[in-house]
Amino acid sequence: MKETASVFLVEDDPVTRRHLVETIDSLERFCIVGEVGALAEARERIEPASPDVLLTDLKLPDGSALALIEEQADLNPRLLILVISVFGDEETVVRAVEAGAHGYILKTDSSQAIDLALQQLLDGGSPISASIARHLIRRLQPASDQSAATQADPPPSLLSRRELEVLQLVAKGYSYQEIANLIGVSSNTIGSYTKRMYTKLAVHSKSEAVFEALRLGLVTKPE
Amino acid sequence: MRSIVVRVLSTCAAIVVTSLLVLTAFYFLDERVDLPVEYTVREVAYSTLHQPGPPSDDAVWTPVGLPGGPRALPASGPPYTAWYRFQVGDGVRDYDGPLVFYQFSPLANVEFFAGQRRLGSGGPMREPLPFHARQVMFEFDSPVIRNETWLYHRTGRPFSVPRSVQTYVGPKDRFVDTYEHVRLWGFHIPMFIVAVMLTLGVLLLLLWVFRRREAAFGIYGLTICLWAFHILHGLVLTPPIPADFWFVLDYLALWWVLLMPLFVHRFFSVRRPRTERAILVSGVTGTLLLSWAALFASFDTLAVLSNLVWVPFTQLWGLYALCVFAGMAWVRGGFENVMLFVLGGLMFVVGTRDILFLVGADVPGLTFYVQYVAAAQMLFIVVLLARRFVSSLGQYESLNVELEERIAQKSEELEDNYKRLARFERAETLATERQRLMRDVHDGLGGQLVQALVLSERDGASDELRTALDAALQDLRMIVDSLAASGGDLQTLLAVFRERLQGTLDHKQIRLRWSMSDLEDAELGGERSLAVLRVVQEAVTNAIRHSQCETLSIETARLGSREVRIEVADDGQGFDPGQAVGHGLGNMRVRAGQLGGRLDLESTVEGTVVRLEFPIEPAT
Repeated sequence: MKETASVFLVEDDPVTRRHLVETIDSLERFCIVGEVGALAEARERIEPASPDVLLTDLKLPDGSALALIEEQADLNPRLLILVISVFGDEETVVRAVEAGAHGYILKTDSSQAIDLALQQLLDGGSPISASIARHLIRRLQPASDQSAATQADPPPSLLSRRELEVLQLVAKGYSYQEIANLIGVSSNTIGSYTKRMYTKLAVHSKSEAVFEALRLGLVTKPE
Repeated sequence: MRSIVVRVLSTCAAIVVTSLLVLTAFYFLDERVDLPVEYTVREVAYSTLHQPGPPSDDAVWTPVGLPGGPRALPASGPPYTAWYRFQVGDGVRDYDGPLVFYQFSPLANVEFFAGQRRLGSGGPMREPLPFHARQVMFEFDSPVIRNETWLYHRTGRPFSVPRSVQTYVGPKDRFVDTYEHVRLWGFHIPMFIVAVMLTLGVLLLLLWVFRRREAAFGIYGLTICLWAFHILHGLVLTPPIPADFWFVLDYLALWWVLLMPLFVHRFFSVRRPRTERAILVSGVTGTLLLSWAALFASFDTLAVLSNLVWVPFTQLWGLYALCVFAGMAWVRGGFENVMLFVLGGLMFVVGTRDILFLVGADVPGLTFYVQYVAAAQMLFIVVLLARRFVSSLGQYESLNVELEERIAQKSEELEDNYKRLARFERAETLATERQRLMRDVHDGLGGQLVQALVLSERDGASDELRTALDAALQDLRMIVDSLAASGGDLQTLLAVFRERLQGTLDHKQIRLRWSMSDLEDAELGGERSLAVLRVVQEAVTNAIRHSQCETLSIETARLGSREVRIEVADDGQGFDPGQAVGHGLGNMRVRAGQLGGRLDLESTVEGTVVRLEFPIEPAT
């Protein structure tokens, strides 16, 4: 791993942008290698900058950053993507995760919180919130099978038993540390579960989209 | 096994009962025909002189053997006319009261003369010659003709010579009862049967005309009309058309009674197209043959064809119908089917006997009887058909009622669905609008609050301003959460609340004990969720601001299946609820009331416990 991880920032609001630039630059292990305020600019400048982390606001003057996230995730699977959210609510974060983001930070996060989120990301984990956990359970677990963990013969699910257990606890509002204590793993492990589940959701969403497109005849199945 | 025994027994019982009925009827028909043998004309001479008036005593008279009556008539050939001269016993000659001449069912036309005086006739003695089976009785005043030569004139078809053409002359009193009895059973009742049959037949035909699918009704209507015509034929003294055609018409009618098997097929819903084709082909062939014989062949051919081929052949088809009746009675059982079989069997037996009687075989009985059995059978079948008709009407009615009920039910359901759809649409519109509003609040107001917070931190604004801004942001977030499209899930809302709270608690170094029971099914909806969150937030804010606690505990528990308790407890210094100002207790109570729940507050120097209990579903 590099000494310092490079962060490329996309944020149109100058005040927040300055705040984030200052916060991140002040962190030991992170530095800003590019900061832009619009999608077009971001597309232009992100490749030469080749950052480790893409930190982007969702709503930009020339469109939604979801497209950018999707493109960049496809182009460079190693790129770590975080979105900047006001509340970290289900609505915004889930869409970003489905597009390929690995997590989010809040605009109001303290520098410690931002440091923690970035650190966690580099360590292979992802932050998660209760509403997102609930969403993941609903999307990745067959509807009839919310209590699969206790069933003798659960039908195939996209989540492992352990993952489901973690998600259920997150959805109840327990912190990583509390969950780690409850089920006897380290809190880092919980973070990596989260990241893995995000990836599953992105893949699941894409396959759903392909299925839907096939169904609607928008694309044809390759022979 | 048991059912077979029951069938056999019921069939036997039906046969016995029906036979008894028929025997009783025959008793009334035959036994009451009290022909006074003592007045039978004994000495008869016979002349074939073809002349309208009576021949003289000088004509050639051939004695005819007794007691068989005028047996010497030709067995074939053209219509004959014959004169008979007869003697009566002394008893009659010396009798002082009115006398009668009587013949029972002559099957030809006769007239009676005393000397040259014509005393009466049973119908016209020239073409068209009738073929009726009615008795004849001519009354005369005995002194007038006592010493005349008594003659009777007969004209008819050679083959229609029944055995019972006995001639009686005797006192009127001795014959009146017999005459009246035979008139009732041989004329009035058959006429009544004819009227009933024609009416029913026409009714059935009309039913069929208006409802072509019920072929059974049409076929049976036609059958009994034909049969009625056949009976009528034997009762008419003066045919309206030439006798040959009248005669042929009767045989055609009789012939087409072979429609019976077709009816039987339809009645029992049996499908035998080949048999039916055979029936129709034989029907048409028979009609053509008979028509040919009537138009071009001699009357003898016609007679032979009719009596020796026609009628037996019709009887064969009758036998076929009887077999179908038997099969149905055996396979399906039931009173109706057994009864049909029994009546069919009687019809066949009596019909066969009548045919034998017609061709001159030595069978018991005085005349044709099949018409009485046929009347019974046809009446029974008509009753069955009427019952079928009525029961299908009943079925239609009940189906109609059911249909109406279902339509009413469906339209009610449709209305309900429409209402529900309208409700959904309203809810959907509301939700979409709310979502749009929330997104605006989220992106706009939220962003600006964040900006303000960041600015306040950078520019070193007062703690109070920062706290106020933070509180505003938290509040906004709470509203966004609870009113989001997927909001209203209490468990997630509490969890999200905890996420927001954690920073403050960390900052104040307050430890949080978090204990959540399973609340997955607790969907409260936006408004009620917000009420719950506000109560919890108020309790938590109070604890953080005023209690100086070290540990805060938030716990949820299920009370039964549809109620929830949320408890916020701290280990702080407590307060006196009576004196408390600024703790928002009133607000909390009001919100608990809105939730249909209760709020309990206990505060001691050891700490404070706020307990909110409420039902998951809103009170209706």
